[in-house]
Amino acid sequence: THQQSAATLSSSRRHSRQCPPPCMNLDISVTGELRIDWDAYRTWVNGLAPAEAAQVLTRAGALKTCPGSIDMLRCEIANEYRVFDLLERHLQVPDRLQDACLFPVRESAVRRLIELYYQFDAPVVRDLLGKKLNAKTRRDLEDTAERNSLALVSCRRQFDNLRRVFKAVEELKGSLVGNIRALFLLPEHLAKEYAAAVFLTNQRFETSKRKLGFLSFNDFAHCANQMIAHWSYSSKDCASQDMDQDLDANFLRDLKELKAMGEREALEEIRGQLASKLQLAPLSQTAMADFEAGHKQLLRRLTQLALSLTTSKDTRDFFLDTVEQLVEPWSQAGWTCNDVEQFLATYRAAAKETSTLMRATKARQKTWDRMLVPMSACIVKIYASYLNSREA
Amino acid sequence: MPGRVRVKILSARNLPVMDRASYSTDAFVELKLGNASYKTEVARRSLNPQWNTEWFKFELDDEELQDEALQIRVLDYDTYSSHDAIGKANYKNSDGTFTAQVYIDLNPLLGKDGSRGMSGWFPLYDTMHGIRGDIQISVNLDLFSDTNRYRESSLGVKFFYHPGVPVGQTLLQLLGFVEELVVNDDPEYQWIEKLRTSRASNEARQRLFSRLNGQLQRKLGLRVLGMGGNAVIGYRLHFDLEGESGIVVRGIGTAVSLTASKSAAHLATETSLTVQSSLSVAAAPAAEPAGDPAATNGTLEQQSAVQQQQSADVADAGPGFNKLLDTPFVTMSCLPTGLVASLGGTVAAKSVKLLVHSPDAPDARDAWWSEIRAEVRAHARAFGCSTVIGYNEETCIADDLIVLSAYGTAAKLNSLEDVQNSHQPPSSCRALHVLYSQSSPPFPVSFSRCAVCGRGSVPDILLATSDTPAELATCGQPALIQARVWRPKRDAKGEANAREVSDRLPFIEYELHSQLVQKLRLRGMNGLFGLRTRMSVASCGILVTATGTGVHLLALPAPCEPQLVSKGDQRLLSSLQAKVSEFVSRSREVHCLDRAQALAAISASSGASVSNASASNSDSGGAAEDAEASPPIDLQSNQRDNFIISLADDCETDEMEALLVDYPLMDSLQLTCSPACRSEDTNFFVRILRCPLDDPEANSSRQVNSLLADMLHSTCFHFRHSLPCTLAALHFHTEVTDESCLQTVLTGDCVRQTAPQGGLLLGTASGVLLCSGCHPPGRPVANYLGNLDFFFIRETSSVRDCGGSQAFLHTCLAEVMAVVRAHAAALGGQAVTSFHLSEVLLLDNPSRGHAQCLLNVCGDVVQLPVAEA
Repeated sequence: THQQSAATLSSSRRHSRQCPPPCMNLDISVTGELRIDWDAYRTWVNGLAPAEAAQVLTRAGALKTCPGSIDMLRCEIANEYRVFDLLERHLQVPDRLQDACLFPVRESAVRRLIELYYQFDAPVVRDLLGKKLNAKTRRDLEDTAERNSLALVSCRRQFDNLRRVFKAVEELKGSLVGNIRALFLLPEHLAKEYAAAVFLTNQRFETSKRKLGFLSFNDFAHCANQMIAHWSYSSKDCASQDMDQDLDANFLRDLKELKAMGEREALEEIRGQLASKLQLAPLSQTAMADFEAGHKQLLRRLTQLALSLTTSKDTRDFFLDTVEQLVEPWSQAGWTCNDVEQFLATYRAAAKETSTLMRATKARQKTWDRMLVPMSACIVKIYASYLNSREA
Repeated sequence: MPGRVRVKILSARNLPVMDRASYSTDAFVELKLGNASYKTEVARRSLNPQWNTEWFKFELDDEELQDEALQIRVLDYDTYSSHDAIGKANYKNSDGTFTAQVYIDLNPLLGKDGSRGMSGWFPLYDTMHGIRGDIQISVNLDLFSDTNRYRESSLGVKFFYHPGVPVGQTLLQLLGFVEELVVNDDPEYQWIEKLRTSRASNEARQRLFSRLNGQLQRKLGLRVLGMGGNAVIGYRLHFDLEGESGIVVRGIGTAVSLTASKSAAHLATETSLTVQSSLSVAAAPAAEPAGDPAATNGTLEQQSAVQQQQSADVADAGPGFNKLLDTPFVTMSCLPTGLVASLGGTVAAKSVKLLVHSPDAPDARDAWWSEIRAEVRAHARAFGCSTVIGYNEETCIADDLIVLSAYGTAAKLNSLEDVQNSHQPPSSCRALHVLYSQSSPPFPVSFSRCAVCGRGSVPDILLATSDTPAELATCGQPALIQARVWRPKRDAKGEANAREVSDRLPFIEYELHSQLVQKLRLRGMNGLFGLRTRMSVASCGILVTATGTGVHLLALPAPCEPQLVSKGDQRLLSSLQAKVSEFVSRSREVHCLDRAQALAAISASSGASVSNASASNSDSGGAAEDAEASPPIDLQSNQRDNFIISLADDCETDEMEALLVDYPLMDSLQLTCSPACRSEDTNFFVRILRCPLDDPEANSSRQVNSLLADMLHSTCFHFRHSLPCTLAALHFHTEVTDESCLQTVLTGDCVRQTAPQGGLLLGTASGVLLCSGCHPPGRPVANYLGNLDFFFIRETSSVRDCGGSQAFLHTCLAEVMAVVRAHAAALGGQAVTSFHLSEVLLLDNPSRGHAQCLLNVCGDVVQLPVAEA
């Protein structure tokens, strides 16, 4: 049924774009092979009306190559738009485009059409992360459009695309990125971004709190891709096959067994190891001082965060917890990015040498790494953005 | 019982959802051919059903095979069961039923050497919804030989829309002109129309058109067989929708006998003919034929009513060919090299008639055409020519008024045998030497000595409907030349209207001719080929456009720059003169008209045979304008040296300025009416442009001119991303509609010399190329598989849902092209050449949300050699 609703959505969209008075004029061009005017396609994707697009393109020098008037350009663009409106239905089911499309298009052009159609503005999808992709959210897009000075149609397209991708892969087994690429014929980088958005939406990560405002879509995508790569079913450490957008249940179960790591003795042990390791490769002076002062709290928070994945409620707050528990205190104490990176690496090494882990099986030790490697990467990324946003 | 058709229904895909509750459709297929029909099982709940049926067999005789199309309908089962109407009606699409169909014309399978089967995905077309999925079908045909001499069928005669000899075939005999017409009532105008649904009525109409088309081809084929031929080339099919008085389907062509050539040997021609004439001269009241200005002196010769038996004479006609018969017409516009001995000039005849609904309609139509053909032949005789090449017949219908027009190029042809046996390259100028008396030419013209050979005498300008013969020496690039004349007229009815129209025709013809000549000269050209005139009568006026390809013929004298003379405002005059000069020099530059160099090249290549006339010409050297200095001493050349346009008043100044308004002169974009020869990339295009005339009664001649010029300009602009390119095989269909809107349908090929990049084409049968010309890009044609002809009707009662009139028509065109591609692909073809949109009729009423579109498309399906990869 999602196809059906998408169809009604897209038709309502078409009407909003159309000029209301019935036009006696006709200006129609149909060619044997469809050759796309990419400038017009971009303006169409961005939701500009033909008249606006004509102005934008004229400013960009569209009338310089061939003598013509702006009115001719507008008619041409309107003609192209008509084709795009007809193509849109097929762009929504790219894997079936081949035998359903009325217009013969070349392979490379098809790929480009799809890619540009599915491209999105990071701020729009950033706004949608963690939200339910329902009609209400779609109605609320007006704010998003206004804030980012984008056309509403364009925001709706992005919303519809995300929802379509989400629904299509929701129930599918196997690699998330692979599924998206197969169904939507997207290039890898774009498929990864969609995978990240689907993953975050599916896990209902908390992303909309004011405190998280500094994080861009790219930051989230980076983190999400780390998580998909290590924690989901498609991770190379995962033995079973299931849906990618879920975390590997075996991994979470294994992680539960490492609960002891969060206990007092283990933490003490980690601190000891850490201190000796840090002496060999010290952090910056301010960071060192801060570590000395509040090491107990810091280590507890960090380890708790690592173990919090076992409950889905805590998982949802991963980003918020990271910012509140780690990023903010560090930043107040003047840690640099390098400090954080180095500290996390040392922490991981130190934890391995604790008796809890030494005693554990090889598999458990692996679990600890599987947990910590992506987590460290996420924390570093978040911290870097945080510092950037502070500077700016 | 000489034919058995076997059909297998395999599967369908992308069917529309008929049951919203289950989001599926219960589809079954109904097959019909002649009187027999079959049904498949119902494929429950599937949008992509599989049937994989056994072979359904139909047994038919030849006649039916040619007339009837295989009709395949896909229906939704629920619409037939009674409980459906009660229980599930709410879930149905607003219009409840699902019927979409495919008509498969079996004629391409009937060719003697063609394949006997076709299979593939055919788009399911519905007149109310367009394409609704595809169906996969296999069709096979078994033919049994038939020796019945009195048969009514003509299996095996091939029809080519191609206006020349098809590639890979050798012309054995050119047998002559064939024509046929069938008249029928148009179901749209019958009482039953009031009862039927739009869909039923459209389908009845489509079916009728398809059957009439089949009948027409069969009858034409019979004539060809009677003449001893096996093919028709330069075939042209016209649907005259005469409204209340019915529909006339006319076909004309050139009967030939072809054989598959072993080498790339050249072909040739012969003309004999057959005409079905006689009959009482039409009862139409106002039948005043208006001759072309080029031949106004021609007297209408009363045609002797020769009832020719089809078989008579033909055997003796043989390959000799200067026999003068009743209709020495050749519909081909592109004749084998060397065949044209001499080109006279354009001959045309028009006749205005009133349509009356009468039972003897076919006879009346035949009589009208015979009359007009006789006139054309008389005009050709005035040129001293026995044949008319590039011959075409067209009609223009406005309510009960019909204007018949026939035009062609008077020519003398060489004997086919001589051409085929001669090893000398054909002369590059002889075809231009005049044959008619120079002391009393059939129309005002001046002569000079041929600039290429220096021996013959040539006219100063030549207008022809045929394509430029390949052997003629030309220089520079061709250019599109278009003359447009709009004459307002009173809104009269019946006879008064007919009289008004026929009174105006001579003046229109005169103006058209002078516009063509002036535009040619402004562009520095002296020959016009591929000339097509198109007429349209609306209640408020008459529009005639004439379009052709201008070339610079070396044999003919170079036109000089127009000098403007006026007694009016001299300042205005000099500024206009400056504009003219600038246009002329710019045009020479853009079209690379370097006459001196071209002549020098010719004299160098042909050495001693070149006379001193052309030698002195090339010596004069320098700018092309100087070429005018070539001194043809003994000929009456007085007026030729100066091309003076005298402007009587400001109004004519405007007209002069209007001549300069046209498409932009660009180095990287050429426009021509002739098909492009070789290219790497050909992309067929259709443009439909329409805009209202503000005030049709006022001096709108200028408005019409500038609107049409704008349309041409916007077409150039459309291809701005494809430069450099040539827009070739351009075909204009310009008319003024009843609502006084100016409408142009333009088709052509955008031709480029760089191969397209970006991998294979995707989409329904999209590997099939469409081209308006005769040469698909890259590879030569390997084999002709048959001709396709479709008449589509598409209607909607909610234009809004289709996205407006423009989107409706746009989709409609795209769908029609997709259907053509699919049929061509199923026949095993890779391209459709001579693809042509011969009829586009859009009736729309946006305020009521209703629109209907009638489209007629045709072309030759061709196979290309396997690409070496």
